[in-house]
Amino acid sequence: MQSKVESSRIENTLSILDKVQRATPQPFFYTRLAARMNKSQQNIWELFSAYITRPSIAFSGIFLIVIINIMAAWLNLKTPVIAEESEAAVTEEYTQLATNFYDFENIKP
Amino acid sequence: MTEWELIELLKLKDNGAFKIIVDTWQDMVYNTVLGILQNEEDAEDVSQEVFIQVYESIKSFKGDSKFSTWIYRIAVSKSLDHLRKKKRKKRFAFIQSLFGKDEELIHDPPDFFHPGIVLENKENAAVLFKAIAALPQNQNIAFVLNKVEGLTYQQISEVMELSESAVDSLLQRGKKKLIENLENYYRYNK
Repeated sequence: MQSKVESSRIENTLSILDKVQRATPQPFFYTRLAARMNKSQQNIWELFSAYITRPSIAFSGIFLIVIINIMAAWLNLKTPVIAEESEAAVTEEYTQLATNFYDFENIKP
Repeated sequence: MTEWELIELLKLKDNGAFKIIVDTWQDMVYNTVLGILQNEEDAEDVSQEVFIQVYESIKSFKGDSKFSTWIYRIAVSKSLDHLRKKKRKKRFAFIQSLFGKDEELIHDPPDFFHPGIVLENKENAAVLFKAIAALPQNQNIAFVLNKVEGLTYQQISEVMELSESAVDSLLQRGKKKLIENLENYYRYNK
């Protein structure tokens, strides 16, 4: 249950709301607002370049490129024979399928 | 220049009209946002966002409500978005701290001193605003619009898109809860 002292204290605190005055922003609010709006209208390329040059993005990108290169090199090392075989087959096929006059005339290198 | 002329000019992206609109409604927006957020820096930031939104979406204003009501709605929704973002950030920082990340925890803000309150009442006002911030969201908004911004029940009902009786009920329940919050505070801080 509320004591008299407590109750008057609460009423006193609530009465502050009747005396509260309107708060106003700091002077030159419009100037700051206009500056912010101009800043947000930056060129899209500026924003893009700012984004990709962020250290976390740039280093991740470089790391990704290095990984892709290593994987590509590793895959190429593993499959040279098949590549050579298929290359030879294609060459042979093309030699047999030579259809123009120049190819018939110049069979030997 | 009438309000409608200003709105029509703003639809054409006229900077002069925009400046007049900002100068006319900046106090109203700032006071409302400050009442909800209870932080002067955040209030400045969100007030700017409100006017950017006004500038960008003026074409969607059809005149179904008063222009000031439309601006109040943007101010309230931007403030609530900001509070949600802040809560999310706080929760995320807490989770990161659990996993040992070296992120600084976002602590509860210090007591808020409303600039529109005379110095002798500052301490009690800080307690009062803390109790207002602890109200459920709708009661908090209705309370700020009524007591801090001085809107009538009818104006609040237009801003919150509720009936006047619903606003009345929100304010009644808000006051009851506010008294409870103050009782608890004074009981434990004698």
